[in-house]
Amino acid sequence: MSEDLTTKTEELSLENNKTVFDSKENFNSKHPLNNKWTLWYTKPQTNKSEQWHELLKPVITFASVEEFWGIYNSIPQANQLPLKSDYHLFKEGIRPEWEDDQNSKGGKFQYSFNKKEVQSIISDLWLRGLLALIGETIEEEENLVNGIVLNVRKSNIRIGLWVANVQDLDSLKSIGEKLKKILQLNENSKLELTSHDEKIKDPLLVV
Amino acid sequence: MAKYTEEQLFELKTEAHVPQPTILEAFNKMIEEVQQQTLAQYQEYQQQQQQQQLKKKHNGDTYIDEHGNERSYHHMNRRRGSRSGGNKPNLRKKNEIVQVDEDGWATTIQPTTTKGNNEEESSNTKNNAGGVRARPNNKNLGSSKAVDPREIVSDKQTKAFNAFAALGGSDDDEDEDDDDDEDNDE
Repeated sequence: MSEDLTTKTEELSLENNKTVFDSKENFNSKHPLNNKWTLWYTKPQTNKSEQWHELLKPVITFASVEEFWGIYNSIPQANQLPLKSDYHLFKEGIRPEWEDDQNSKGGKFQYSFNKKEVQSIISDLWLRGLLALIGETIEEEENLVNGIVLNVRKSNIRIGLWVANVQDLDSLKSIGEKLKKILQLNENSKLELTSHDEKIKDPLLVV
Repeated sequence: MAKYTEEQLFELKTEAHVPQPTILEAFNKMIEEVQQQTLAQYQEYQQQQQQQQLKKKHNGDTYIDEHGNERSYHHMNRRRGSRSGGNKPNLRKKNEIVQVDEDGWATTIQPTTTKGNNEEESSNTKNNAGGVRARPNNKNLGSSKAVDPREIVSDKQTKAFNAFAALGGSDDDEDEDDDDDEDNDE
């Protein structure tokens, strides 16, 4: 019995770090994400009768890595979006509006890129932001990040990371520094954290 | 807490699965419509801008040309450009008189001044004195004293240069010639 067990567990070892990712042949299971995510889209106003709340629409919700790639491959990339469009990727149940209860006490890190300079790489930067968000590598265990936003405007493109609250500045600083790396910003570029509260106009944190 | 690094997520890219294709098709269709509308709005805006610029140039009055196109009059009655057209009409009053003789021949004559005959003659003699008119330039002369124009006239070369004489003659001859010239000048 004990010999049997020994031979069966011989292959098990902590030194053997192989996971399902190492063998595509054996890999047939879905990879669930820690959270469900909803993709939102803000349509540019094409006639004056359209109201703001009508322009912001949820597109689709997904819960696995495979679904994410399926959706990502099927929709226009960041540099293909029409002017005045927005993409939002938020945790399910959170509307990408500062009025939402889960956003109202929070804030956002935001960086504005010059459109001409970043046109060729903005899709890649946006994708890396999405991956850091759904892979949840942008934060440790704080559960502070609510979503990420892309704004396509006439002369610039903005990427913003929305957080649930602005109390824990140490954790927020770590998140800001990771975002700065993801967006390939150099040391001279400043990434500011601003509160959704209109009364607080000054940046809470500069990374 | 399930975490996936960027590399792990990229490895799964080939396993992509589209959860609700109909929703994504509708979404793409909507974006396509938005792009078309945006393009149409942009073109409309450009047309408006062009029309506004045209309105600035003319009063809006138009006609239909031979091809059936509506055109404005502004290109027909605008002022002639200062550089357009090489043959501009010379509308200045001509400074000559045409005289027709008995045989019908027309000749142009320079008009005479209204001054009296005596004055005209005297002025002519003044101008023609010596045959050559020269204006002395004191600046380029050694002396600041004004030069008498008649002296300049007297410097006029009276003996023509003879190339054969110059080639055939000796140095002494040339000297002699020079002396002769000096004598003549004096």
